[in-house]
Amino acid sequence: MAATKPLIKKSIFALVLVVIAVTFYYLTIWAVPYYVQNKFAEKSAGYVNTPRFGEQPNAENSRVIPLPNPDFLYSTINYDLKENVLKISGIVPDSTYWSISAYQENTTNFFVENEEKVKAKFEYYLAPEGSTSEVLKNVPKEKIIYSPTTKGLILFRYLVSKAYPVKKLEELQHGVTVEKLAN
Amino acid sequence: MALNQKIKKIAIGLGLVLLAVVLGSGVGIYNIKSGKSDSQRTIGNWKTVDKDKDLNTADLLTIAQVAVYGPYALTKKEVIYLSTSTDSEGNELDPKSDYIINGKKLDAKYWSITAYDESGFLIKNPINKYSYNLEDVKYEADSTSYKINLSGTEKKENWLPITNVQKTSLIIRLYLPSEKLRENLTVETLPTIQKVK
Repeated sequence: MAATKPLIKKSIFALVLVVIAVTFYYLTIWAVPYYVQNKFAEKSAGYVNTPRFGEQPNAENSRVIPLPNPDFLYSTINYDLKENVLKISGIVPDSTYWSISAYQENTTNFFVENEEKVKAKFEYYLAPEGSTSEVLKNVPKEKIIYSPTTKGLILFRYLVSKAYPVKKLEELQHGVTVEKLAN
Repeated sequence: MALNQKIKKIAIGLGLVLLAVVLGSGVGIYNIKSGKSDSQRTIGNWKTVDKDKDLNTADLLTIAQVAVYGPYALTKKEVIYLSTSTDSEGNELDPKSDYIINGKKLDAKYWSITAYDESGFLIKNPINKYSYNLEDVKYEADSTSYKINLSGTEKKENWLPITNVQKTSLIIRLYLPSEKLRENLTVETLPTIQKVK
């Protein structure tokens, strides 16, 4: 009996070690996407809730986010909805791929619309999930993007094509506006 | 003596706890780097997200891998991404060799094939060409099939340069793919990569 007691103690300790290792395994793979988004947000410091318009990616100007598509013009809005609901509006090209997508803080996509569904102009209200903000009261549901996390990223993709060369697309790209509304 | 032994035991215990922390996190990082996950599907030499899964609902490991190696990807309804770092024989792509990518038009609103370096960035080259898509690839006489020259040395047509890199990988993007293509994503529908030199 006396001999088995230390053995039980050692077994319990070994089990605790396994639980710790497994916990830290999952904690690591869970935390990495938040770290990535945080790093990107750091690089966009000073540009929170403000649109940033990227140039067409090439080997020299696109060295931060891996796997850029060289056929796209990208725009981003690094958002923080702690104090504001954002009204995002602009013009949609009619015959080339365009999309607006939203990513929560762990970089996963929770919203996307493209030019096949949104015609001519777009207007979206970005609010935190469960928001009861007064500014959303008369806004149609389909125009509200509810973000599961307070922080995240809005990404616009504009396809450079024969119908829409870079210069023509840049005009639309730079026409995107973000209005900060009281939360 | 007894106190010394107790301190020793505590120190060993703490050391083992630390080891468990390092081991758990280390295996996590190793698995992210490995690029392998349960949400993956292999079609010939191309890898994509499994049929029943998607990037926003995938397991934690897949979400972490995408966040590190290709963040801000879209879901399958919008885009299908296929990646490879091997030729059709399963051999790793060698930037010093020449390859021909043989394919046919893909039934999607927009598709492209892009080459990346070992870090996932675009490859610097003398013609500033990083990809071919449905509009700028030069088709064969049948107007449907194409041959892209994946090579570090200049080619006359459809040259996709992989100059001065240690490793390379390719990504196919299928934006707004047709239902037919979505359901019939097979080795036959995807481009082949043959080593020619």
